[in-house]
Amino acid sequence: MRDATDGSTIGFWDDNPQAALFQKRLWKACIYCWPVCLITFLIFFLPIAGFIPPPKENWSADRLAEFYSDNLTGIRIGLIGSMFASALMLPFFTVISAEMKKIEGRMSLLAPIQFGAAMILVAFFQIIALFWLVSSLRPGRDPEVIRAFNDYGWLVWTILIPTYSLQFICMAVAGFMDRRPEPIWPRWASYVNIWVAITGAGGVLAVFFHSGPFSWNGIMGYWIPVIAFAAGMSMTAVLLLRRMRYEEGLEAATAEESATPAVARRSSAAPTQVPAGAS
Amino acid sequence: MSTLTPLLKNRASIAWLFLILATLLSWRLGTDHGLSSDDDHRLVSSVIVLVAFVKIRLVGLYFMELRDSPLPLRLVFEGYCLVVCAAVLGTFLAS
Amino acid sequence: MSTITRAADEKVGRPKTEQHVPGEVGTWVFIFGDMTIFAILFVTYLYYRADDPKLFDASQKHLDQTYGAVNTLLLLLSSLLVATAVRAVRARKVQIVPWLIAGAFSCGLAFSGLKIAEWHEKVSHGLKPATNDFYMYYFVLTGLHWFHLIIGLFVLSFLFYLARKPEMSKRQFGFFEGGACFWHMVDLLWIVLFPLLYLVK
Repeated sequence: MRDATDGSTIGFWDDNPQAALFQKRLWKACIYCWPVCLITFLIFFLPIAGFIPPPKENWSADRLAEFYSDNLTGIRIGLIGSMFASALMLPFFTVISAEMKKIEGRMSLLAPIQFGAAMILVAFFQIIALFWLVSSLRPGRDPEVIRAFNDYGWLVWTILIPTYSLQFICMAVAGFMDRRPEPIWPRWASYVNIWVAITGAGGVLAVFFHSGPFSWNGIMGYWIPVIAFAAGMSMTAVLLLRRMRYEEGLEAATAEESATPAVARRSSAAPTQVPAGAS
Repeated sequence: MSTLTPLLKNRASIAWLFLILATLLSWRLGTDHGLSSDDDHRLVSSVIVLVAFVKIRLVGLYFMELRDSPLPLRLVFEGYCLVVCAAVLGTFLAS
Repeated sequence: MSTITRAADEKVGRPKTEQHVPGEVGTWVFIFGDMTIFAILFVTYLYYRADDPKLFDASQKHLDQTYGAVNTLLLLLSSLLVATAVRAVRARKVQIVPWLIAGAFSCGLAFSGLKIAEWHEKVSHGLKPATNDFYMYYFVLTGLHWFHLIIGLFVLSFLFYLARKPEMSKRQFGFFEGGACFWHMVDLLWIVLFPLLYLVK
């Protein structure tokens, strides 16, 4: 990697301080994608689309069609905004995988598994928003059809848990593997990740119950998994930033250490270079 | 069994005896059909709930050994017992 | 590597006032997280019960309290065995520990068997989760608890494996204590669940 001199390969970043600085900023920006995603998603989903709290699972088709036709523009704008906001999860999840790869080394497995699971999550966020958009597309159509598309969206939202849990399990295992002095996920954070992975699974009950706490608008089907997911990922975002600061501190320390001999070497090399350049 | 006896001479075992007795008492109270009025049922049920939370406190303090844990952990547990007991009783009595 | 003998020495030698977190701090994050979810469920159950207490009480009459009470006693016994096992490891009476864990495991297995028999009995009498709200809560709450019990049985199996080792490292003993506390949590949750579902009216 280090032998690349023309800047065409990845090694370019190692030797070019400006490129390295850019990469560091990119890394940080990808972590900050999470809070940006969370806030913009919330804005588009809650006040604009009015999807929090969600339309109830036991509503009649007519009542639901009314829910859509009453706020047609809001729902359309809100869902398109939510789609763009949820795409921002991908850069953030990629940083998680990159950090996991650092823990695992060359034989990395958890990092690509986490990334694959994240891809599925983001893809389905796009898909369900599109299904809800289909519900809103032709207000005059059969309410039962509107309800079927709406049902699909909310069932995916609550039951697409297996890959969600997989992401958290991967993070937990990587956390337990991390034996560096300042691990990304301290052991307690790994236990939190396992807890989130299990707690989110309560959502699967939504297909059995149309009302009450286990329906898709209930406390176990909706509120607890959503809050656990947001809180768990926010915890990881904070821990990733902490790790970044720690690594920057390490770099600064090693740079300071090697600064003096490096300068000495350069000044001793200078006289031989000047005549070479002059001739 | 000679190795077991000294291990059982412990506060946890006394707590266990109490837990068994409390379970039997709640069972007896909960299935007693001698009570007629709704008010009696509400009172008895409240007592049963209260006993249940005393029981989980004993499980925490003596089995989970939170009695010997640092204060913050113990406070979280005591707080849990208190808050959840109040919430459960409150929701029950409000109905 | 520090072994359990050293951990035991520290325990025996420590003054009475010295405090100690059972297991590692992380297990407590997990245990309190689970306990909080169940606390929310307890309150939710009573909140929805208030909508139709007559239906809930009438449905409750079809439950057999004996199942619930015997299961409570089984879990209490298993908790005592596990707590004694932790003390036995500390007192270096390691030969008895696998027996205690195996005893606790059998109690858990018996609980599970009784639970399945009870569910089967209810379903064969036409009482299913869809029958009414009470039975929905009955099946979901006992089901979620049973799910935790099954995780607990896996934890106990691992404790059994640890108990058969000639000596445990400090980290392993930490897991032993944490796993024991998880099992006590399964007991603790049932202690509340039993009166709420079977007795309160």
